[in-house]
Amino acid sequence: MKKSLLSLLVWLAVAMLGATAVSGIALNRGETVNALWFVTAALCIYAIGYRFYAVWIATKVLLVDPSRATPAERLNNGHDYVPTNRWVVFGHHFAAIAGPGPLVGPTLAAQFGYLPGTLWILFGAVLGGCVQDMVTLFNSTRRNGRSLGQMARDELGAIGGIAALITTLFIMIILIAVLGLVVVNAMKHSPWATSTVAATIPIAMLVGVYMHSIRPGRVLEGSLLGLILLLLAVAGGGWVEQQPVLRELFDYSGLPLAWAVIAYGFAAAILPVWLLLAPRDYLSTYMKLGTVILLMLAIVWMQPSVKMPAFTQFIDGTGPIFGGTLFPFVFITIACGAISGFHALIASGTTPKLLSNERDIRMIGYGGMALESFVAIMAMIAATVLDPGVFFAINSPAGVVGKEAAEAVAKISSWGFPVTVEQMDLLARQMGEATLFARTGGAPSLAVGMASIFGSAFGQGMLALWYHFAIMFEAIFILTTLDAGTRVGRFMLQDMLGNIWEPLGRTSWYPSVLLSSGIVVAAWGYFLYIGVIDPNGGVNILWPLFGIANQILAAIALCVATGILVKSGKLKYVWITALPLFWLVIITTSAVWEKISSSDVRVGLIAAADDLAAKLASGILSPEKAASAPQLIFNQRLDAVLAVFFACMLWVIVLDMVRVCFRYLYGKPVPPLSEASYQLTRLEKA
Amino acid sequence: MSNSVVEKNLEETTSAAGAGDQSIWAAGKDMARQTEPDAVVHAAGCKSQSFWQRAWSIIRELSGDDAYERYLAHHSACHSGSMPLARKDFFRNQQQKKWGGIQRCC
Repeated sequence: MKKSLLSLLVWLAVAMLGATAVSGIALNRGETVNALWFVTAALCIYAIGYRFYAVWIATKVLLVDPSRATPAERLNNGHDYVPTNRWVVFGHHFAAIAGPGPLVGPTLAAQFGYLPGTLWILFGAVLGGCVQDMVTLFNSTRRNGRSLGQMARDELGAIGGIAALITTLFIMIILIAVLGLVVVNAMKHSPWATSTVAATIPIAMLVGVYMHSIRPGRVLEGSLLGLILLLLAVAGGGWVEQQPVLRELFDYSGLPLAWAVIAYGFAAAILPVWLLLAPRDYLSTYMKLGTVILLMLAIVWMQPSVKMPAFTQFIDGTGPIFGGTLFPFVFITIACGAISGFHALIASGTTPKLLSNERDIRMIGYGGMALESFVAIMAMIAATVLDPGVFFAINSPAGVVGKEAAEAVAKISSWGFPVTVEQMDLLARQMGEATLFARTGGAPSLAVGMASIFGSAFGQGMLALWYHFAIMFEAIFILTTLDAGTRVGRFMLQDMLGNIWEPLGRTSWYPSVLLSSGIVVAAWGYFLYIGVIDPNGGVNILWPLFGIANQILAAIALCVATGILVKSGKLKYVWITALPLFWLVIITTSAVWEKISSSDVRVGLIAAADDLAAKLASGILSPEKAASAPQLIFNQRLDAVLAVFFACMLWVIVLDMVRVCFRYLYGKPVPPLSEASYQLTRLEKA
Repeated sequence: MSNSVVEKNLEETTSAAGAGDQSIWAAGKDMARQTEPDAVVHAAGCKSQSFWQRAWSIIRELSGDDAYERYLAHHSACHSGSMPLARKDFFRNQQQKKWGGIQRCC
């Protein structure tokens, strides 16, 4: 009794601290806020969500059963089904779900001010994203680790399965294109960044050869070797920068870099995994975990001040980084930091085959996403500790603020965010870059933010080194996602093509490998190419499209979860997935509607295409712009079609789910629950 | 499987979990107790090991450094009749399998 009173008091204190922190950052106007309040608010909210909401879902709704044998135990084959220590599963799960999305999204969404994005990252994760991951992990565990697409097919019908498969393929293509664009923009005219990122490729290969032939399977040795070489590559890039001849060799504009990334993507998709993809993934995982921990320590230690206001005037839709009003675009832009449909693909398939006991579902599903959301909060802090003027100067494309430095600072200062050319030049010199104007995509501004936090914590003199370390850190796992995504896209495509002509489905038949890899690379390469030639930076179009696709995939995962809840007779609890689903349907549908119907050329894709077509016809474009105009017009129309297609996919599966639920409730036959039957665990006393 | 069988299973599950009439406070404590670290199943969790030994074995397991040793243990336990794969072949197989599906997110 005494103990429960104590825990009541502790949790009351956590709740009050959390409420104070949230209201502190929410009600603050006109002053800087200590970043520690963000960290406090986040940790309290996650702790309460994890301790109460997640426990309630696990015990009352899902009826998690520690006595039930998991697929890993029942089907243990020593390969993919293996009962594994829960911390190890947590590590694998987190490494798999944590990608560049939660770093880029919050950085872009900071144009609305720090508050809207922060609130959505916190509450969206606790009430939506974590629930989606946990429920999907539970459902897949009860179904022998079946994938989201298979569960959609089994539980709802063929339509759901096909919709999930097609959306996954499309989101992958858009995702790779936008990530490629982020890397290209980070390397543009930066010999240091380009040479460092280029060096990661032979380093990965060397590690691959080491782990494959020299010392087979010695993962830790190989990784340690690779990490040392990576750090040397960051320092070596600084040396390359100083050499006039080498400098020239690594100084490129966007287009050649885009072609290089495309060629690299194709090579990575057809090379054996042990040579490039697997070792790169080891390095990127350690780099990612290490940097996230380092960033957290630096923020807690330095307690930097957030200088961005809570709201900016750009909530009206006139923002320079991307056009669109606060609703729905803050939700679309944050995407992975709050709810990510992609996680449902990891939570079904790989992770459930490792779980040794169902009670770990809460920690891995709910806890893993809470940690991912925390990464997004740190990205938000890194973006908002910059002077707002500097933030906008780095992230605003030349097409919006003008090509000349003086023009850009005048425009940005006129918005009420003072910045000077001298300030930007000094910053660029400190970071070892030629210029920081119009470095869109989020990576450079995140790197400047991280470098200034690291610099103040671990030595101001190494700012340039920290900046390029941050760029390398982002690039290495963006390239891992690019490799892995291209490969998965290839397998999916081969799977579909195999239905047309059987040999095309063989994953080891070289002509089919080349053809399907070529198609996938060409698809994302096209969007990357257009993004690079677009004077508005490309991110403006591609990131919202990616956000829409990702949120629609999340809606599909929540549809499956909602359908299963209803069919399990848990109608009174269905709101735990139905409410986030309802919200996602609203935001994605309104975002698609804005994207096709808005008359603002910075938001509406059709309006933008028509506007450019009219300008082209009247001959007022410069010859350079006129040359690329037809491609841009075509692309904007194509993107509009894609957005509508995504929305149709969503509505098809939502209506299909509602149909199945009503049939169940009226006692009509529905696809039966595909849950595997109960078997008592033998692993331990439950 | 028909609906009725599933419902029966669910009922069993409910009674087995014993969560039917507990308050959320009690349920939480129950889960916390069940997730004590001594409940871990794997080699990494042997109680006789020191903290550092355990941390090291978790690091090795997390990174996959000890995958081959665990494979050998599984092999001798379950398939002792046949020859196990060589370290190099095992490692290559494992990587091929791992990268055959979705492994990395956005």
